[in-house]
Amino acid sequence: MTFSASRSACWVLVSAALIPMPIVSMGLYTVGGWWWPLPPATVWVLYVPFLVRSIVGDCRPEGIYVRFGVIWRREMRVPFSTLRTYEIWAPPLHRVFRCRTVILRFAGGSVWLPLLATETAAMIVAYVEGR
Amino acid sequence: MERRPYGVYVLYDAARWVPWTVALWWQSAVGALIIGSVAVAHAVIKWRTARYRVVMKEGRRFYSLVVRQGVCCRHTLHIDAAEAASVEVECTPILWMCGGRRVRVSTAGLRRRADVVLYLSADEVRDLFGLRAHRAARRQTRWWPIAVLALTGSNAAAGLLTVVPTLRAIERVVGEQLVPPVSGVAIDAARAEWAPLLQLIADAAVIGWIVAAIMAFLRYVGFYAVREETYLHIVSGSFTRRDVLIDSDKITAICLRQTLWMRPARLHTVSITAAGYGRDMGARPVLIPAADPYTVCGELSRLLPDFPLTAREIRPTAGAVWRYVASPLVLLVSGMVLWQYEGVFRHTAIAVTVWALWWLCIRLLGARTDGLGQDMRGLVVWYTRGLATERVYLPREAVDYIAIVQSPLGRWRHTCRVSIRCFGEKKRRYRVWGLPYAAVQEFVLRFKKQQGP
Repeated sequence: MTFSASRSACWVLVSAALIPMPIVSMGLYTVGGWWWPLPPATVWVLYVPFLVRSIVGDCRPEGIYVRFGVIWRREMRVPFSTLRTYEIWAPPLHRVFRCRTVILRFAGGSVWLPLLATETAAMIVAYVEGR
Repeated sequence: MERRPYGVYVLYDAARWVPWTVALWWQSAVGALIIGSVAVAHAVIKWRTARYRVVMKEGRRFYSLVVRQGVCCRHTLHIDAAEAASVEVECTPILWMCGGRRVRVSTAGLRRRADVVLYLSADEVRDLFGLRAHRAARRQTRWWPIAVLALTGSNAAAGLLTVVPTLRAIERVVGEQLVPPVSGVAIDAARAEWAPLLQLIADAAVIGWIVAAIMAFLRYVGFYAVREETYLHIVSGSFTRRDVLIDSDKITAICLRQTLWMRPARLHTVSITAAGYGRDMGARPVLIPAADPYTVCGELSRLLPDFPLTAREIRPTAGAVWRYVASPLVLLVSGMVLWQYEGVFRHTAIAVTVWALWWLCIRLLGARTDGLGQDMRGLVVWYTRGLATERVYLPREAVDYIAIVQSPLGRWRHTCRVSIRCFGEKKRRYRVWGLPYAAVQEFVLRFKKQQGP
């Protein structure tokens, strides 16, 4: 069973950047000029779709495999034998855009599967429960 | 079927905001009232939206658990019955008055807190976990070993014997001896402010020791542990009662500890290392708080019969005693140097000398009692840590690696240091110095052969 990030995940990331944007913009504006906030905002808006598209994963009989990252690519494999607890996390922005984050905790740490659609997160949890 | 946590959940959730509310009260009473009201409203909404569901798994005493909670950030947590390593049921006086219990479920992991905390009613806890009171076991615990343990807790006793007199002496020096002709703004300020501050710290240390001793006594008087099938049921506390259920399969080590003060009374403290147990701040994974060797052997054979109990095979060489006493001797010499001077240095010298002699006694004991042993079931390590001697029983499967380290002096003397690390213990190393190198090599080879791939 393969999965990937939700289509509305881009909106989650862009909206999340809007929260600190006024403070950051004010800081940059006072340091430079009115146009200083534009380049980082543009980079972020262009980067987000690539980041969202890079989140892919696969539920296999022996464990879960996930790959993400644009500049630094990460691949993580979580065998079911080491899995201790699993959790669905839904902050307000996620809920607005119908996204969920699945957190898999094992003995040495945790792996986050971010920005999944609600149905995808439920399917992953059902798959892990049924193993 | 999903159920709502017990109502006392609101009390404990809102209580987290009390420090902020109190701090804000001095600045703005209105602001504090607003914060307090928001905290209470948030706690009520969080309680009303929280749900939990338990699923019983055949053959298991623990349950699969699904917990949903949160207002802004919603969490849905799943714990499988097979992964639950320990369950702690806590009953404080407030919980007892409200008819509730706090349940902490922990899995094997390195998080510094329990995986889930639930507030349930006393009836629900009784139905779910079937906790029984073992009155006979409770009556068998004796109070005087607990009293010795409480009064001689190393840190508290050390502080009382050395830190408090030193602080009082410094306070006297600053308050009286810095009198004209020594004067000046800085000295006047020191006399006016430091002296009372040092007295306050010294008084706080004394009160702290008394409180720590009383709390330790109340924690362990009436303490007992029983084995219920494959689980250990540990009960402790007088005012705050704690029932802990631990899956004995998750126990990775048993440690017998003896401080210098407990040695004349031949008392040992037995604690366990279990995946997922004893991670919370203030938790103490104690199995037997204080008992003589005869009682310890009897209790361990009853509670954990599968753990290795074997004699020492390898001891430090006679020449290795210098490795043990080098550090305390350096500290002792430092104290001797400070004796030459008067005033605050003389008092510091007393404190340093007392600490050094204490440490020296422990290290000399360690040079005599340290060592390694093994049998078919596992490994036993006798070693010295801090101001106590300890003996640790490790099953074979719990040992991650054994490292043999030889310094240049060790190569000349044909001795080495052995360092053992176990599963589930991120920073703890069991170290024994001055062991004969050839004997250790043969020991480790034999251990690896029996441990298998």
